[in-house]
Amino acid sequence: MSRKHNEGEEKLFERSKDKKDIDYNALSEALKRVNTLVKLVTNAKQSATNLKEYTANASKVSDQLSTNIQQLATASQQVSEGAQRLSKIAEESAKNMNTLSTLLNETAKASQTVNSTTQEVLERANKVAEMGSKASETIRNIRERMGQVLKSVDNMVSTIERVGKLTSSITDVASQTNMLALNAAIEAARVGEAGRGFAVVADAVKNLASQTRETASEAEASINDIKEAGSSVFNLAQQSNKETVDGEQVIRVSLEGANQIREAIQNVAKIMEDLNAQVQQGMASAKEVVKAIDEVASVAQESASAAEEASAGVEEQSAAAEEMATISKRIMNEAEQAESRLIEILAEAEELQGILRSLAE
Amino acid sequence: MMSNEKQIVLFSLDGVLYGTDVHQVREIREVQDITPVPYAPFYIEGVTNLRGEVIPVIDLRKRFGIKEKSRGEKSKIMIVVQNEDKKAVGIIVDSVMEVMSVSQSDTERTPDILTTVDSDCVLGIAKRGEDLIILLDLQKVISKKNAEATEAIEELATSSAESSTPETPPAEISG
Repeated sequence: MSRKHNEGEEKLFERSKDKKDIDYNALSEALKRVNTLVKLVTNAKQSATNLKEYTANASKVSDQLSTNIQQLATASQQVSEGAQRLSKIAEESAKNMNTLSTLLNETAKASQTVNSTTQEVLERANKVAEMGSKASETIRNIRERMGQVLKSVDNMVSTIERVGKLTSSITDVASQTNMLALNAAIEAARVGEAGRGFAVVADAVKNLASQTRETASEAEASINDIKEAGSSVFNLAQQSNKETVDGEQVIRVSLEGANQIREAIQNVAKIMEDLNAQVQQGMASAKEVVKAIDEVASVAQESASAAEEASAGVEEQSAAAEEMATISKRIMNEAEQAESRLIEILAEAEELQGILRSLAE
Repeated sequence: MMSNEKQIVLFSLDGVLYGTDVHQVREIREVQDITPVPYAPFYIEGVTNLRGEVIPVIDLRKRFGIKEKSRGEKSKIMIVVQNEDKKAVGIIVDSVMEVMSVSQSDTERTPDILTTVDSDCVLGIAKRGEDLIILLDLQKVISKKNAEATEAIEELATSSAESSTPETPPAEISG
């Protein structure tokens, strides 16, 4: 087109040389200017079109941006909510951990109580064992002494039996003496007056004999009593001996029981110790967990506030983006109007160019 | 004193006190081994050896019809000498207590109602405090009234035994 314009201008210039009635110079100048104008308007139109396209693009982009920002806002809202939920959960977890910690503390205390109780029971069992072995020793001593008593009583009984034999021989002698005295008395009586003195002696002898016999029988009675007493002592001692054997058995059984208790208690104490260690460990872990939860909670808090801040920022951004979109639309409208006006102008200019060209011919 | 008092040997049988004149008793012996004699009267216990002299032994319980009782330590044999032949006879009693004096004033005549012993043999009853003592003539008890029995025993003791010796019940003879 520019070449056309140039051609038109050259023609107008040549005509102005020939025809003197038309100011060809001016026409050529006008044509030149119109050509330039057309060129400029075309360029402007082109620019307006470009601008229109650009602003359309910008609008599209800003729309996109707005959508994205909206999405970002929603996401940050979600993040905030999530962080809040997490914070709540962390709080609850912290509460639970506190409860757990309290329980563990109580368990530790209880296990300590159990520990002291088992210690007491152990001490008692030890005492029982000690007393049992003492009693056992005492019973053994008693048994030994009982054995000695039995021996002594046995000896005594046999001694008494010997004494009994002696008294029976004394009784024998006494009864023989009595017989002799009787016969002597008879003999004396038969002799008559002459035997009177002899009779007195015989009587005295008889009295002695009967006294001896009485004494001997008393001794025998006493000996029988002693024998009876001895045999009952013997029986009693034997019974006691048997009872001490029974007692020993009982003590042995209870000693065994005490030892079993001691073993069981020792096992319990060991288990309690393990339990205590585990509780301590559990308490330490719980503390760590609480610490971690606290951290989580604070992080959640932070992220919630950060998300809120982000959300606020996004809202601002969103407003800016919207404004930008509005502005770019307005620019686009302006560009469209400018373009259509430029098209109008270009049409005018081209018409003018045509007129000028025809004039130049 | 002598006429008023007499010495007796005091003995007992089945809880009853008896007395016999000390002159009738030669001596007192423990109950020693007695050899039973066949066909002897039931109250004859047997014979025994008294220092080489074989003498018959009478159980006075059986002779008096008192029920038998096992002998104890106190049982004794009184050696009584028979009037006629001066031969000794042993008499088993429950016990022999003593030689004592009884006064005539303390002695009474026997009532005629004694059933266990012949009144001939009973000389009287003496008192000693609350106790009563039946005074016996032992020589009559063993010899005079039971001559056949003692003779039979003598025969048995001295010579060889005869085939039949009639048993004589103790209390059949009357005065």
